[in-house]
Amino acid sequence: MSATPHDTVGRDTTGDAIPGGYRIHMMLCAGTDCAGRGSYRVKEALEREITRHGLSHEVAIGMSGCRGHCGQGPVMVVNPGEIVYQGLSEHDVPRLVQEHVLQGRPLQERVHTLPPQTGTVPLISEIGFFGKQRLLVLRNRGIIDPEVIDDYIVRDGYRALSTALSTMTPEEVIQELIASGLRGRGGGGFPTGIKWKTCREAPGHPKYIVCNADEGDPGAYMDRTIIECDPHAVLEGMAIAGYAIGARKGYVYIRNEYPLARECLEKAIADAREYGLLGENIFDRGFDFEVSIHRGAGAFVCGESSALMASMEGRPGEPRAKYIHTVEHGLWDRPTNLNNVETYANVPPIILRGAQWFTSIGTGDVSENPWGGSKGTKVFSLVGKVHNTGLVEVPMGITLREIVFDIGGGIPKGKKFKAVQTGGPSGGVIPEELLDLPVDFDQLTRVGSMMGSGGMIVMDETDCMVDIARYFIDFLIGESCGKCLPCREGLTQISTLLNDICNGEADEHTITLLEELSNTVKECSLCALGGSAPNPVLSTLRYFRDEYEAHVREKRCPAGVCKALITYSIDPARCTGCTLCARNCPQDAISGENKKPHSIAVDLCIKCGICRDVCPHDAVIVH
Amino acid sequence: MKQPLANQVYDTPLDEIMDRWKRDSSYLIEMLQDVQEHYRHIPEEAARRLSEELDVPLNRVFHIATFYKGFTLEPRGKYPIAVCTGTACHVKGGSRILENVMRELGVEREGQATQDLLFSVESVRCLGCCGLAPVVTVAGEVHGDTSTVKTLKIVEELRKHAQSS
Ligand SMILES: Cc1cc2nc3c(=O)[nH]c(=O)nc-3n(C[C@H](O)[C@H](O)[C@H](O)COP(=O)(O)O)c2cc1C
Ligand code: SF4
Ligand code: FES
Repeated sequence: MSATPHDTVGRDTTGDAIPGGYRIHMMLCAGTDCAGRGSYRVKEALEREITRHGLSHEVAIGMSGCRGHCGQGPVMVVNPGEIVYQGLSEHDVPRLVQEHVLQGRPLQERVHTLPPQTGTVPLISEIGFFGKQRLLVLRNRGIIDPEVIDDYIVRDGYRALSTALSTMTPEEVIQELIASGLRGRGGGGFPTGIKWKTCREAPGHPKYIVCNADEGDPGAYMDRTIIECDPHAVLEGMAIAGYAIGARKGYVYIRNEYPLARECLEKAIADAREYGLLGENIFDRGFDFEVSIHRGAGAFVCGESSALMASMEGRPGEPRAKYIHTVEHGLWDRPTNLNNVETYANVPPIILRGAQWFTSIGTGDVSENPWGGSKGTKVFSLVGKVHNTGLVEVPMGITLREIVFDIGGGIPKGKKFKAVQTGGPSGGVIPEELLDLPVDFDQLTRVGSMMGSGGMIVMDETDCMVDIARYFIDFLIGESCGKCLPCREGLTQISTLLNDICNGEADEHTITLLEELSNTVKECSLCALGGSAPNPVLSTLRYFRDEYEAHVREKRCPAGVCKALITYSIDPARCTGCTLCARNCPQDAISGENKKPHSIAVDLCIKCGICRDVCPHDAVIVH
Repeated sequence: MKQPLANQVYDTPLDEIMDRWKRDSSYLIEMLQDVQEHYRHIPEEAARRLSEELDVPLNRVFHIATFYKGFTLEPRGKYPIAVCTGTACHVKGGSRILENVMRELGVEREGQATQDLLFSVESVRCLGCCGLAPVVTVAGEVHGDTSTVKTLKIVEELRKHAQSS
């Protein structure tokens, strides 16, 4: 689905929502990435320029949520024609208005280009980054202004809720969800309809709906973007869940690091309430539903259901044993349905277009068994060593190769692909041999990683797999709640072993020990944090054992990352003697004459890497 | 829409914070967040008063204040520096930036402030703008595609600014 000009709601330069009627619509991305690169300054410059030409009644300028094309911001889409501009600055504005608005031809030098310069490709659907995507959850991304509820309503917003309330019983809603095969997008992949059914049938009152927007995976930002670009979709999904389950109160548990998303959600809740889409007697069907927001305080473990609920009750976020289920004994010991942001955002389209349509996208067969496949799409945050970093939404079953190379545009700087990491700290790495793997819940688990919430970090030949494993373990040591021993002590010991390997102080035996210990922690931990924590170690060992062996046998880090095993030097053939490195070296370890090759005094060097960062000629090399 | 990540600073003393949350102890975490935002740490006195007024054991207040990463017991600097060490930033050198900035500012522990109390350095795990990796925020402002050298330049400018005013 892509935007057609007539269903875009334009906004004039005074900020009032207006139903189209403009000659040209310009939508600038207001997501965190683009705002960080100055999209608001570009917007203001555009408004001034348009006003200066007396064109305010012809050209509408609006802000949209993240388009996911974050590596190239600020991004702007201009309709008609869906022309994508990237890397804009306020200095481009006069020329852009001159060319595009007055002359009617796109400003070529800022139109989106494919990474290997194959010429300008102006249409969204022709850009690989967008072409292979299938926008379901992000259907409104960049098309509506997330702060304007009317924008959402024009695009069928709240129609699913009205359909559910007026034509379906709660049981029918649940049946539709089960038939759709929708599985939880928060990581576990539990069938959503089944969860709703269990919660509906659980004894106890009142019941609660909770939305998990804790987004603990360090290196992923799907949920934040969904909220920032389409907050009402999440609220509508939650309200439908409330109706199906018999709950009147919903909470969104959101990370405190996401102030913009929170503001956006607060505004959306207030607007929906004003329109009578939340509150009492919604659509006059006798259904009441309220939503409030809870801020998290920075703890990965609070993404876990029982810890999240403990935190919402004002207690430290420590998990409890899994045999007590939160669908039965959740918030304040009442039946509570917890779903991820993206899961809720999937609900309105399923209700509107039906389970059958939803099952046409994705893998497997869910007609008998909701675990039989992975249906619909998944949003990934594609980051790391790829050309096009950003948020992508793809149909389940697409291959990793298509994501990394067709959508992501491959690896920058002519480096070689090494692995992609999915599933965050609970997941694992997937090597080049498996690039043709279709992406779905079960396939990723089979190869020792997992879907997780949707982080996808691409790594190249300069990333050390032992270092990556150590990185995740160290993250989890900081995040373990400390309640149970295998996780608290086991992870610390795993980290010690990994440090020994990275420091060149390990032998073959260390690797065996590492493997045994990892399996023990995996088996014996109380909650899924500890239970999945060793996955990054086990999966790097599975696919990159030779790299571990190089560290212990040859005391060598093949990727050139582990400080104790590398030395920095300057390639005299490349060095032009520009003196930049010498001026920036905090140790004064670099010497050389102006315009002559420089050299590094190895005994003074602390391997901080600054010289390598600043060298304009890539002359600093690592062995 | 406001600029993102603008640090909201409430100009309100502890009583207003408690009133805002109706003195309901299930909102203790929310109150502590407001205290942290206001005082840039959780002062011992504030923890004591919360414990007394809300009738929550003091050890529970400290359990929470030390459990969650968002709280600190010592004051942050006037310009807190947060270096992202989320995975996307890590593979693009974020952890190295953290190490370098700490060394250059003479900060030994994460969360510690410089001697002049102008800066403090800590790591954060993903600011949710991984497309800009590596990312550093200084006093709430996001700097993407950054490096050790660029971050130290910002520090120098702020220090000059602080000394001249
Ligand atoms: C340590 C840990 C961290 C988690 N973090 C998150 C998270 O950040 N966001 C999320 O939606 N689910 C997270 N989960 C999964 C939740 O516990 C829960 O399964 C999920 O929110 C259910 O929603 P879903 O069925 O829609 O996926 C985490 C689980 C564990 C064990
Ligand atoms: S596995 Fe780790 S995080 Fe989970 S309960 Fe045990 S100590 Fe806490
Ligand atoms: S990893 Fe640094 S912003 Fe996400």
